[in-house]
Amino acid sequence: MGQPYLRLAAAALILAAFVLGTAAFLVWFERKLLGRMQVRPGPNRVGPGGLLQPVADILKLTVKEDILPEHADRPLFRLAPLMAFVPAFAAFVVLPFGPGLVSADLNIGLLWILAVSTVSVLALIAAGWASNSKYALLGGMRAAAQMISYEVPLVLSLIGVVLAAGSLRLGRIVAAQAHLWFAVPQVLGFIVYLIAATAESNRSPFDLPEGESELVAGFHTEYSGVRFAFFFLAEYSYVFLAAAIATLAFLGGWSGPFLPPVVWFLVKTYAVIFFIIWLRATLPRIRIDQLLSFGWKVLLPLSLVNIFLVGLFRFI
Amino acid sequence: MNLAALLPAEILAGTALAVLLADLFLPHRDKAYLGLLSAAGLAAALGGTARQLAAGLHASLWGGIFLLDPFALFFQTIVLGAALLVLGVSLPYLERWGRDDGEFYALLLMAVLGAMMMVASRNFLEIYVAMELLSVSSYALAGFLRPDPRSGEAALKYYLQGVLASAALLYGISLLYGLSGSLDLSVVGARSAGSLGVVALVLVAGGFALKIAAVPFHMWAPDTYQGAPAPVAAFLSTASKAAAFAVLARVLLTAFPAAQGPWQELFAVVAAASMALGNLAALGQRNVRRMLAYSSIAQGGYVLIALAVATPTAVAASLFYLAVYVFMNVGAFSVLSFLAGPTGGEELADLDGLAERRPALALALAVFLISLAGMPLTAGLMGKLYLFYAAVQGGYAWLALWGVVFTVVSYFYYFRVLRHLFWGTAPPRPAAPAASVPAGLALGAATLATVLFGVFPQPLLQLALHSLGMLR
Amino acid sequence: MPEAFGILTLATLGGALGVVLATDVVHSAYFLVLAFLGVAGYYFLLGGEFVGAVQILIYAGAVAVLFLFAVMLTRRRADPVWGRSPARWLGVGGAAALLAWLLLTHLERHPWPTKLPPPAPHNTALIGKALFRPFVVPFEVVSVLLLAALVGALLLARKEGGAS
Repeated sequence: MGQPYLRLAAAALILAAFVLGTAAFLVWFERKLLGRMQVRPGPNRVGPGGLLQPVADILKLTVKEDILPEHADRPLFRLAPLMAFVPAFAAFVVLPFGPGLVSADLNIGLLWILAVSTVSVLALIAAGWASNSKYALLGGMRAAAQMISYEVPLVLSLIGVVLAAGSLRLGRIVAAQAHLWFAVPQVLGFIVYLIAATAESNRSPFDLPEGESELVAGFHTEYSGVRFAFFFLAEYSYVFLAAAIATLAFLGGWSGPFLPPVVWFLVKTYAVIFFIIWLRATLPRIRIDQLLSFGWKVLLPLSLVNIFLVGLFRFI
Repeated sequence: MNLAALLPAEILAGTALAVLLADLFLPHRDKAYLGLLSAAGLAAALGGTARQLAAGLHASLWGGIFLLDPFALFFQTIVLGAALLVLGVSLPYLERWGRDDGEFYALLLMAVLGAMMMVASRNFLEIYVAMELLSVSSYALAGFLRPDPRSGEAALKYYLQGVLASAALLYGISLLYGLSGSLDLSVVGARSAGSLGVVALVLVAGGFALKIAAVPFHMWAPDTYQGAPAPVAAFLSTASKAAAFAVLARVLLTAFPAAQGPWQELFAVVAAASMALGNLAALGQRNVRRMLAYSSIAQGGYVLIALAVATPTAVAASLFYLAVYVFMNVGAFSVLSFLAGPTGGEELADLDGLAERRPALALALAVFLISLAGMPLTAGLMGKLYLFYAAVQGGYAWLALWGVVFTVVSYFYYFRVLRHLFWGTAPPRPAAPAASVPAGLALGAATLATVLFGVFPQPLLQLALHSLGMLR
Repeated sequence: MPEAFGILTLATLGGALGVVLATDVVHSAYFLVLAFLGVAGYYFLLGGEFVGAVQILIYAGAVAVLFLFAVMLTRRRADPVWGRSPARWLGVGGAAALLAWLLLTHLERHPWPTKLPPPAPHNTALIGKALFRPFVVPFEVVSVLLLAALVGALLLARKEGGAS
């Protein structure tokens, strides 16, 4: 007892604050960017440049009525938002923001992030099932189909990185890119990763589980108030995580000249996030069958080719 | 060295993949070539294995995970031979059902691969993995004629009980691993003495007993053998059974000689129950395939006598019996596969007067059934004699007596079929389709072997004894 | 870390009990996830980080999702729950109790070692080496097994007269 537990608690608190802050900031960031890309100002009323808009949103959501649909599966309905958020938080635990700046430096950090983030599918299914609504159920089913399909190329695209670095520890993966970012020799893997990660976090153009025009809002149609906020939080946490892994695994992590490592890490991560938002502003949503066949018939073979190439180069 | 010794298995795996790939590109009318390709692969693997057996190969591969000794090679030969016969019969059968797709052949080859790997493994991990390969392929094969609800039922029942047995097996293996810290058969037994080891062993044996269809793990057999495509039923009742028996024998005899007392008693009870239940239940069946299923449970009981007695003579006798059992049982199911159409045709009444309509088929079926019953001049009699003799010699006279009694009981249902064959009045019905060349070859070979090993059993028995020599 | 072990045991056993006792199949599936996660925790506790993470990835992340998928595609919430007659309770409970008694008495009687060897460091690399050296053939057999399962599943699920 004592020391290690205290340290753990402190780390958890700091992380929780960071996750909350990041998610809130991302909401503003996305809305602002989308606004500019669509030639409108975006949020600009609350605070300087609308920066406090998310705070106002959160306040609104916390005081809003928490509605439980009739005939809903109560325990699951209540649990689902937590199930969505906890894995995201657990993934942050092993995320290194700089050399040594990590809550728990796991031997298998990359695998841990992949493993716990798959658990969030269960939350989406639970939400869809428990809501007792056809839109929510369809959204949940789509989410499950999509996430299972894109999980495979996602993991396979990262195997190339693990092969090249010879380790699953995120610090070692960054260190292995001291001379050359993995994005350069494994450009194929990088592209597959970006697409799969976008789909994995249910972002446009792969946002079918919550396609407004078809499913109202997908699995979280019936949610309101704090529970809705949790889903929101989880979604933006995953966007940040996806970008952070892209940074660590393909873009050299925190390494860079002049600026301190943490800054470099955040700059690269936000660059990737910018790219993901840019995709949303530019591309139309695709159809569910196109989505699935694209994942299995294009991305999967490509990621296998990537592994093969990496293996070949390692062998030579 | 390692890879070269496993060449037959590699040929099989390669053929299975080639069949799957070729299936994509072949037009529908040319699918029969896939069957021939599979037959070629099986024949090559059979030739390779037989050569290894003749050369007396005894090789421990990959640090003891595999043991290619004459015992393993003997069973590999049995399995491959059975598969080749089954394949020959399947060609016209599938064509008649209009389902001559490549998947059937690929799955059959994969099942054979699993069985081959199973009998040669000396490590629980490999045993389990190979057995699952055999099982999963078998489930799919049993449900191959999916539009027929009985085929679906066959697959589902086999699957559900198979999964349960797998779970028991895994639970037993996990206990053994916990006790011994190893999965290696040569280590596990010595380190898992004690009562917990016996409990684990019973669980493991339960997992294999399902494949042998021994009581009390026999419930799937009647429905599956009846509903599955007839050639698949033939495969399940022979090759799959033989492979499971081989693994069971190897596990018990090589890894757990220390716990011999308990498992001998266990298998004496299982064998007796299988003989009794199989033979008695077969009496009441009007459907010939269902009757053969119960008969197959009973035959499994005869073979399990060997594990109760656990002397080298008894185990050699079981090897002999399983080898000849392949010919007679595959043969019997094959004849049925020619007669049956999508509308059934496997009831006793459907066999009425077959001797007039198709004398060759009727004669072949008669030979197989006489052999299954254990009449003179057939391999079945010699096999039963060896088994019962070994039982008496090993101090299990009551089990031998029990076997003789139920053999006599079995005469009733086997001869009832013969009565329908030769003395039934044939109602006018469309002639059964003509047998094709591969099917004719398979059936002819099976008939010949059944008679031949009945008249000259010595060489095969010598081989069985020799295969056993180095088991321990 | 006895506290961690206790918590994990509670989660695993509670999850397992929930699987059998829950009246709704979907709830059973979620209890199963809890049990899976508990087992993954044991692996971490024993120093098998890789196995633990794979347990989460495969079982909680993939197998459970597949279960849920199957349940939702085949069953409606209005379907009646299968009967829970006292006879069934007695039968199932009796069988379970018998098995538990059998195992527990024998487990207790066995002289288990009280000291475990420390887990090997770098066991991820060790697993990789074991898979590709001594266990390479079982590894390949597993790949054939998965192929067989894939082909078999397609065969059984394919629409009649569909692309063949």
